[in-house]
Amino acid sequence: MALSDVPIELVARCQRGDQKAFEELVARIGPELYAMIYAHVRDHDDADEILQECLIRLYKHLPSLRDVMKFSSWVSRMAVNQCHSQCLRRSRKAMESTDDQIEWAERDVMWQKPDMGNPRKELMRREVREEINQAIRELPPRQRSVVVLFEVEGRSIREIAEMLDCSVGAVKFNLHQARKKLKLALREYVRQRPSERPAAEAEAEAL
Amino acid sequence: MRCAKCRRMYDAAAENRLSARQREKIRNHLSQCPSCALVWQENEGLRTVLCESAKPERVPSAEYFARLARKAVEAAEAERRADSARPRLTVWASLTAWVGTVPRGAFRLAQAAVLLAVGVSAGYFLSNEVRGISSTEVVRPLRLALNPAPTPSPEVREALPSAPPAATPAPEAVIAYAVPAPAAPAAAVEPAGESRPIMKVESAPTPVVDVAAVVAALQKFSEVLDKMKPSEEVERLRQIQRVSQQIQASAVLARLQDLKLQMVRTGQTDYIPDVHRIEEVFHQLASASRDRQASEFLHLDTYQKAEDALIKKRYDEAMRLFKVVIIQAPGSYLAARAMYQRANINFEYYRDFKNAIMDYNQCLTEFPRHFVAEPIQKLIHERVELIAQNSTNDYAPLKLYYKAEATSRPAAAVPLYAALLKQYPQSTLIKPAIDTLVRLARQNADDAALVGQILDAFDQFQDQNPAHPAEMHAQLAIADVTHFCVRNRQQAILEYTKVLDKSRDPELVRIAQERLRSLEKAP
Repeated sequence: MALSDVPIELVARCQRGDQKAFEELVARIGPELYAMIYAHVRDHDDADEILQECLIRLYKHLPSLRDVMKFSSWVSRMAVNQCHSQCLRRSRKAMESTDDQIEWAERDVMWQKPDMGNPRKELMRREVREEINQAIRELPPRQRSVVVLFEVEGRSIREIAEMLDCSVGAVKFNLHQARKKLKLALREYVRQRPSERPAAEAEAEAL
Repeated sequence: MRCAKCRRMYDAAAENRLSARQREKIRNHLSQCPSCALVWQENEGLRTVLCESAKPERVPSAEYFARLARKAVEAAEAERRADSARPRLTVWASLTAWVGTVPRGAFRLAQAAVLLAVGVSAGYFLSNEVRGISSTEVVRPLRLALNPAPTPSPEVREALPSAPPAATPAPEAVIAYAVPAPAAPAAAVEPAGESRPIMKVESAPTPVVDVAAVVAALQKFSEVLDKMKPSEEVERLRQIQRVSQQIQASAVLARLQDLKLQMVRTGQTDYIPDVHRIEEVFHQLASASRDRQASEFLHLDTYQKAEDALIKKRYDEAMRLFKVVIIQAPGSYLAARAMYQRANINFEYYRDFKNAIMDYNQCLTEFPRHFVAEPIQKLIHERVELIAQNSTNDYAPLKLYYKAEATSRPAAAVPLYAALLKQYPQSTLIKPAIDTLVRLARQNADDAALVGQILDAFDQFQDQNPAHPAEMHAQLAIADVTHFCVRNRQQAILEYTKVLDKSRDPELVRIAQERLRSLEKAP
C-alpha cells in the first residue's frame, strides 16, 4: 500500500483520535515508511528508532493537519526531516538507558525471513551492501537526503527543494557533491554497466 | 552539443523531462564523446547501485508494525496525561511566597527584574515548545507564572500596579508585566532622590529602593531554581537571572541584545517583537537616565541590522552598518562589538589581513575593558599573532594557506600547500599545512600521483630547511604517508625510527612509538 493510496476517510478517522483507525493506518503505511527511512539511514536500528519517533509524531500531530489530501507529502516530509534531524544521536543515547535491550530480543524474533523470490536482486553480498551503505552513511545529512530522494525515490529536483525547504540550486549542488563522493567511494560497482556487474552479482549468486 | 551542457542534462533526463529532439542530440553526442558517455554510464550505475541497496534486506513483520502503533499511541497518550496532571505553581508559588516578605518599594524593582527574566526565558521555552523541541517541568510553571492562577494571593493583588490580564496569551502577559514596572529600574539607574518616572504609572508612589532586599529576594529565587532538576532550561533561566541581578538598564539591554541575536540565529523569531517592546521600555529608561553605558544602546537598531546582514552573508552591508555604529556611539559597548565583528569579517570572509590586524589591534587598544571574556580575548590575540607572523610579502603565506584551504579539489590544493612549504618555510602555518597534506594523502591514498606529489613536497622541505623546528613534524608526516598510503612496511618502520632517534618532542615520539608497535603487531 503506497502512501498516496491511503483512503481519506481513514486519515479523517485518525484525526478524530480513533485508535483502531490509527493501527490500521500504520499497518498500511508502515512497511513503505520503514523502507523509505531505511533507504535514508541504511541501518535497521536507526530506522526502527526513527519510525517509532515518526509514529508518535504522526499520532500527536495528525489532528492539526488541515488538508487531508496532503497526507502523503506531509508524512514523507516528516519522515525525511526525522532522518535529517541532528537530534538522532541524543535521543538514541537517552533511549539506550531504558528498556531498549528487551525490545531487541523480542523484535529479532519478529523479523521475517528475507524475500527469496528474487535472489539476483536481494542477495547482493552482505559486504558489498555494507560498503555501499557505509558510503551513503558517510555523506552529510543534506547530501544524503537529496541523493536518496532523487535517485531512489525518483522525486524531482523541485519537489525535493520544497521538501527540504531550500533552493533548487542548493539541491542540484548537493546532488552533484553526493554523486561525486559516492562515485569515488563506490568506483568498482559504479563503473560496470548495470547488466554486467560481475563482482557483485557473481558473489551474490555464489552466496 | 558541448560536453558541459550534455552533463548538465543528465538530471533532466533522469526526471524524464527531455523532448525527443533533446534526447536525439544527447544520443548523438554520447556516441561521439567517450568521456561524457562514461559520466552518464557512471551516473546510471550509481543509480542502480543505490536503488538495489536501498531495499532493506529484512522486512519487519505485520506484528512489528502493530506493536509499534500501539506503543506510539501509548506514548502520546501518556505524554498528554502527564501534561494535564503535572504539579502546578511551583515557581509562581515560591515567587508569591517571598513577595510578602520584601519591602514594598523593593518589590517593584524585583518584580521588574524577575518578571523580565521569567518573561524573556519563557519566550524561549514557549517558542521551543511550539517547534516541538522540548517540554520540561520548568515550562509549565513558567507558563502559569505568566498567566497566573485566577485568584492571586492578597499580597500579589496589592503589589501589582494593575490587575494582570488573567487570560491573555503568554507574549502579551510578558509585556503587561514588564511595562507597568519601569519606574523601578529607573530608580535603580539614578540615585533615588533624583528619580523621575519615565512612564506614568497611575497612583504609583516614587519607590524607595532597598537594594539589599532586592538582592535577598533574588537570592531566594535562585534557591528555588537550585532545587529544580538541572536541565538546559533551568541553566538558561539561571543565566538570565544572574544578569538581572544587575538592575542597570545597560546590563539588561546587553542581555536582551544577546537573546535577540540567539533567537535570530536559532530561527525562533516569533518572540522578537515582544523582546523589542521590552527593549523599548528600557530604551526610554536609558535615554532618560544619565547612565552613559545605557544610552549607547540607542544605536541598537543599527547594530541589529548589521548583525542581520552578517547572518544573511551580506558582508558589504554589514561592514557599512558596523562602521555607522562605531562612528555614532564611539567608545561604547556596541562600538567595541562592531569593531570586533568588522575585524572578523575582514579576517574570515574578505581575507583582508592588513585591515583585520588593524581592527583587532584597535579592539585591544581602544576598548581594553570590553574584551574581558577570555575566549574572545584569546581569539583576538591568536589572530593578531598569526597575522603578524605571516606578514611577509603582503601576507602571502596566509593568503596561500587560506586559498588552499578553500580549494575543494585535492589535486588543486596540494600544489598550493607545497608552494607554501617551499616558499615560506618560516611561516607558522607550516605545521597545519603539513597536517592537512597528510590528511589529504590519507583520504586519497589510492591516487598514487597525488601521494607522490605530497611526499616530494615533504622531502624537498626537509632538504631545504635542515634543523627547521618543524623538521621532525615533516618526518613523522613522511612516515605516516609511507605507512598509510604507500603501505611500504619496511620503509615506514625506517621513517618512524628516524623520528624516534632525532625528535625531542615527546608527543611526536609517542605517536611514532604507537605506530611502530602497531606495525610490528600487524602480519
